[in-house]
Amino acid sequence: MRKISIILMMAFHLMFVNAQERQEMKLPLTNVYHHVGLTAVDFVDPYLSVLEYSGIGLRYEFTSGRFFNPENPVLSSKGRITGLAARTINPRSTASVTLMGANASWGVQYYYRKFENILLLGGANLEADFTYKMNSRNINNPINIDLATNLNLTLGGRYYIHTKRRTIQLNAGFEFPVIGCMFVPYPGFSYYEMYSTKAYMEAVHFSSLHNKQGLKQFFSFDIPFKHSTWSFGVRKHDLTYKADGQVYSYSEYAYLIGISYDLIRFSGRKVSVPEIFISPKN
Amino acid sequence: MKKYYLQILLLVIVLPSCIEEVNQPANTYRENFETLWEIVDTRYCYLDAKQIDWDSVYTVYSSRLATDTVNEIVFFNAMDTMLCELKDGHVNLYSGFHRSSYAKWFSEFPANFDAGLIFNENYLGDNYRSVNGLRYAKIADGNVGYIYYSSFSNSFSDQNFRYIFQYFMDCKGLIIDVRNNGGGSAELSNRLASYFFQRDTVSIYMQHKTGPGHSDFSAPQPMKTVANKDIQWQLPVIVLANRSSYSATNMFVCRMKDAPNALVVGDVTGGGGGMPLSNELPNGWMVRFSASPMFDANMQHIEFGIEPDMSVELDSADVVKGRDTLIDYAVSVLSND
Repeated sequence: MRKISIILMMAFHLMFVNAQERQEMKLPLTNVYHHVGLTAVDFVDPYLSVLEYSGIGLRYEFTSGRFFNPENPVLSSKGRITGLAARTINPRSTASVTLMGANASWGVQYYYRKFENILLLGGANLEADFTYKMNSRNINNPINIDLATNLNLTLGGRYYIHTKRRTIQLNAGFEFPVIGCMFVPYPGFSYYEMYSTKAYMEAVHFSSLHNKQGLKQFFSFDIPFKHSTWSFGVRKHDLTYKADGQVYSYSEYAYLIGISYDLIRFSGRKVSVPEIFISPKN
Repeated sequence: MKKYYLQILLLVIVLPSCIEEVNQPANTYRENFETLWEIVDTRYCYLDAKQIDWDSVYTVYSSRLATDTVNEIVFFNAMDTMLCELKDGHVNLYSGFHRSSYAKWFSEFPANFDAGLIFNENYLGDNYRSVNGLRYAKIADGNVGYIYYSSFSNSFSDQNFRYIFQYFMDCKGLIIDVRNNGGGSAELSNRLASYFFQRDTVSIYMQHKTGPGHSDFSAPQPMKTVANKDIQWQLPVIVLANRSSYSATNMFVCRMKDAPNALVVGDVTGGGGGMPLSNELPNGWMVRFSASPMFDANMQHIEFGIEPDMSVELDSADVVKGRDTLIDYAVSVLSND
């Protein structure tokens, strides 16, 4: 009995010491944002029409981030999935184009914390972009599909405003494509011909700053509450690209509202996240 | 190192200027005319093949623009007349009040078809079967199967043809009548032809524009007629065509020219060998035009129609007797086989 008691005491002692050490170890949290909002879209797609189409739609964005090494929180991953549905009309309102888009990206961000209350961010991401446009009035070419992959550079910053009860966060982000490839069929290269001859590669173009320029801008302010953070923002996206001499343009301006939280479960709804958990939000 | 930074900076500044601005044409009569003319100039595919001097057309219609712009309808009529210079049934101008079209590809030729005839008791009669736009019956005392198909916009399935071919199993041959079939889905024309091929056959080539020049085209791409593996008609088949067999029907007749056991009877088809696309004018009108030319197996344009294997015209004396000369000819050929 005595031996057992000694063994148990030693075991508890070891567990206690280990627990003390574990409290020193920091653990990464995944922080996510969900944004939804209204968006105004303008585009020119010479495959469908020489005219500019304008309209409104709905946008959804999901972003997530997580530090690679919480002991040294300077490098985080950042993933994003977005969806868009919009209806646009030509300037004379004689035809409409329904637009459905999806975009997914994954990249890394470097955190530069040399200034008080200011965080600077820089990084890059790989992006896959898909847009489906349908002009129901067009008889033989009602659809055009945009496909693209890009390597984007990203820049951003956060400014922390400390109030009595909470710290409000102002965010700004910029992203522009540097290099990639895009699927842009020449007007006249019908999808029927592509489907029949399987000559899809003819519509694939290398892209870089010489033929594709774009800028995504995002401004938001985040107001934290006990377990989540409300986020209000605007996103602007301007894109111009050229393939086979045809110039395409896309412009979008979205008002977004969202929520942000850290993906972690603790017992009890009112328990705060222990300080050893490091979120890329901070 | 500074030198490299400078070069990168210069590249970043210079490269964005490679893309010009997207200029939207203004909604004026002049800009609408210019836009329409330019769409045809840069995207229409038969300017060279038809030896059309489109620059001269510009000069003529530009100079009379002052008188052609009294109102929207006068302007529409002028643009319609300009587009008729293309002599193409696939060219249309769509406005809120009218859709223009060029009709001389069939109106200046004998019709060689009388819809009333095929429904009399000598042919389809009253008890014909009908499924998805396919009207069919056994004719000539049950010795010949006859199908009238009026539009490739009416979609049919393999199952439809499984039943139809079973129904005609004891016939000596089959007639597929596509007279006055103005076209529709190119995919359906391929599917219909696929029942009459035992192996995949290239019977059509297609090109597309690769630039704004009149002769900027891709290399011709072969378009196979893929033989249907499950359903095949291996007895003789005769296709009846006339000048109003157009577009997708023209493609079907072109494919059937290369089918084994097939004979094309009737008149030259109407053509419509350019895959059409659409675009718009600043005033919201839409223009449709031939964008991608197609060729037969001998690399001849099918825009100008497909010659029949046997030219047969509808005889007015036969019409009076309630007889269709083309169907009767086809029946006699199939009965003698």
